[in-house]
Amino acid sequence: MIEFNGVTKSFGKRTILDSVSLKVEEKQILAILGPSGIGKTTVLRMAAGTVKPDAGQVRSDRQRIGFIFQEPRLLPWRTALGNVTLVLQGRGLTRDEQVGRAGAILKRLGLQGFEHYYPAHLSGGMRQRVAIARAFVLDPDLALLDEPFTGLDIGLKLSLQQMLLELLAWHPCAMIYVTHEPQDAVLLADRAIVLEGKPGKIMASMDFDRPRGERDQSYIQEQAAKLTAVLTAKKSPVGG
Amino acid sequence: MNASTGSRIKPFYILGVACILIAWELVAVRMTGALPRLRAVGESLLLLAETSELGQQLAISLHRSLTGLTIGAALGFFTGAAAGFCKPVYYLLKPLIGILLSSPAVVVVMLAMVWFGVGSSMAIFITALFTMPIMYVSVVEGMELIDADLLEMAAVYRLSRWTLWWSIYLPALATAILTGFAFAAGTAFRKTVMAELLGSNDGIGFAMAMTRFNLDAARLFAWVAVCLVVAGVLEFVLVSPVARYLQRWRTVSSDAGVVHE
Amino acid sequence: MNNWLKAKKAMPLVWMITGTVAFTLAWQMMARVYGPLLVATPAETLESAVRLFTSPPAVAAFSRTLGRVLLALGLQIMAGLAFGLLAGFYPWVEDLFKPAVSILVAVPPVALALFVIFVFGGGERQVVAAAVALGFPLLYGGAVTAVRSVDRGLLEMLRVFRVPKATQLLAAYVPATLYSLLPSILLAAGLTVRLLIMAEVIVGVDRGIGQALSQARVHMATAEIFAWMLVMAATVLLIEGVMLYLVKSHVLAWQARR
Ligand SMILES: Nc1ncnc2c1ncn2[C@@H]1O[C@H](COP(=O)(O)OP(=O)(O)OP(=O)(O)O)[C@@H](O)[C@H]1O
Ligand SMILES: [Mg+2]
Repeated sequence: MIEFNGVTKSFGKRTILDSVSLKVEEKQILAILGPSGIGKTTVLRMAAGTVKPDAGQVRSDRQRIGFIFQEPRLLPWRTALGNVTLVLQGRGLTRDEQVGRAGAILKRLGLQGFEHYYPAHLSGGMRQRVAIARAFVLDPDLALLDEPFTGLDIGLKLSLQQMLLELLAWHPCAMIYVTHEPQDAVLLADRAIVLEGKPGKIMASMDFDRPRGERDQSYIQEQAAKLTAVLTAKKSPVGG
Repeated sequence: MNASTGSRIKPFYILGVACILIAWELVAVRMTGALPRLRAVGESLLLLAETSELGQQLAISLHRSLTGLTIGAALGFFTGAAAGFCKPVYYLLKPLIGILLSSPAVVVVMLAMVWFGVGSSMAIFITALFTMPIMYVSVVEGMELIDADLLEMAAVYRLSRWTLWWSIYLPALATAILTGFAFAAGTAFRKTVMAELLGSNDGIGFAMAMTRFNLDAARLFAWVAVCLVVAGVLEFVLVSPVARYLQRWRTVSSDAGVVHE
Repeated sequence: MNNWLKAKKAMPLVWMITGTVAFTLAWQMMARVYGPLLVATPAETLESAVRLFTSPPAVAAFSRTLGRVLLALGLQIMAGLAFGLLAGFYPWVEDLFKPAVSILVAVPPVALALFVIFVFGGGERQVVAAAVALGFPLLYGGAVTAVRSVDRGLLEMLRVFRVPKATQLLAAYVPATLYSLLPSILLAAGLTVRLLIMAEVIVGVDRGIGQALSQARVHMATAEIFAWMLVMAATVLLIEGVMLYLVKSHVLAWQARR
């Protein structure tokens, strides 16, 4: 689906990422962890094609991308519904079909009755849900999620994660998921990588073999503990 | 980024200038009589310079606009500072400033001609009257800016009165004066020319009015060129250095002067 | 972000009344000192203003000028937005326009009015065109800055979701630009009134406030000139007020409530 091959990226004189290689298969979910400012968002932007690597290649055969940015990035002058239909524009859908699809996904995310609210009149968590709806309304084959649940209360976070799992069951797709929480990574991902160092390199990578549906609390705890150990210990780079 | 784009030679800017000149020539050739050829304008300009009319009229206009600017800027500064420190003054002046900002200068010129007669004092009065609100608004806004952010900080940290003046009021006022003055200066010259055009026996404005009666378009454009040079010099020595200086912490539109017709 | 909406808040009523009363008193005193030929008293001015609104030619002149103002303002907004967007997108377009815009800013407006007479002759269309040209740089410059300051995050979002270019323009650029352009549009309203009347006086076009003013001057009707000034100040306030009202109800729809 998408593949990074020895990707290096600098902003100005500062090298942010150094020969990062990774691969995400169709319907596979990759979690990226690492300290703030290491270049996680930059990886997602390169996957989306809005940032070009300085060296190495980013190859992908994605058709439609769904991106949940670190901030909601909604158009303030469009309602929740308007923000979701925005990305359905120019895809050969009638106005009614657009509204139907947008309304359905908003409803799935518990925003029924709020379709005609402007972002400024929604709560932070609701805005985030609109952003999720926008990312998934066009049946993406690659979803890029940048810390989508940071700064939300634990209850909302859990329910949004549940919704995300439902959305994925409803419409599976390849996904790169940036997070700071080892638990989140284990809950969702097939594989996790840890970025570390100056410049950022892939320091560790972990596979979660058990199918997503069968991961119980103990499995998650156990794997998350392993991942935490990796995150806190300083290791030497592994080959990508 | 700004530094690099600022010094780079811009081919499209030159193209823009060329377009204006070429369009001018094309129109001038097709509409003989209405628009003089550039060459004719240049010759007129040379003639003005040779007969020393250029120097004389320019000196008169510059003198008037400087005098008017000085009076207007001083008035604007004092009233602005008073209004900034004391809200009642602000509200008392509000109707006057409102009328000044919404009155077309031509109308005020008509009145001023009745009050002062035709000549220098009228032009100076008009220039002062229309530069005053610019300075006033700039100073009032500058002082409002202080109110909003810094005074709270000063109160929290219990800064002394001396520090307050030295490090908060004065820099803000200096900024406001600089901006206000830079924009008022450009306005001053345009207002003087207008006042002269409608009611004076000398100065650049008067010379322009004469070209209308003599149907001497080439000479009109020669005078316009003189005005452009004056504006350009002002921009170069005053407005853009100020804008560049201020850009460090405030965004300033270098077109702010156009708000006052 | 919406400081200007706050700044346009009504000032305390007491002070507004005090200010107006003090202004009127000072004016009355001036009129006493200099006599009615030089300074009309507030009462005379008001009377004259009332007379203006009951005399058909004056009303016709007023509505004529108002029509021209609105036309010029509309054209200015459209031209400013269109060219501003273009120049905002393409720096080379900005470079290309720069000399022309600089000239429009630097040239004394009266000189441009004379230019119009020389080249295009006098007439209604010429007057409107002169006002549009002179007012254009304000909105154009505002639009260029506005386009450049559209939230980069939103733009990246539009690109990632492959929103069609036309939709990007209509759904993101135009609203964002218009919104940050609103303060300039309000300024442009007052500016256009002043520029248009200036052009009317200089070009000497038939019917309109400009002509009425010229006649009042010839007749030394000071009260009438004062009355027109009052009417114009009121008109500017009115246009601003109407626009602010329209804008507020529209903009506040999507803005956070306090
Ligand atoms: N457009 C840019 N121009 C210059 N530097 C940039 C740019 N974008 C990112 N950077 C730099 O690249 C580094 C990585 O940024 P990035 O946003 O990818 O970090 P991150 O891992 O997502 O951090 P966080 O967890 O805080 O979101 C940072 O040090 C940042 O300063
Ligand atoms: Mg990030």
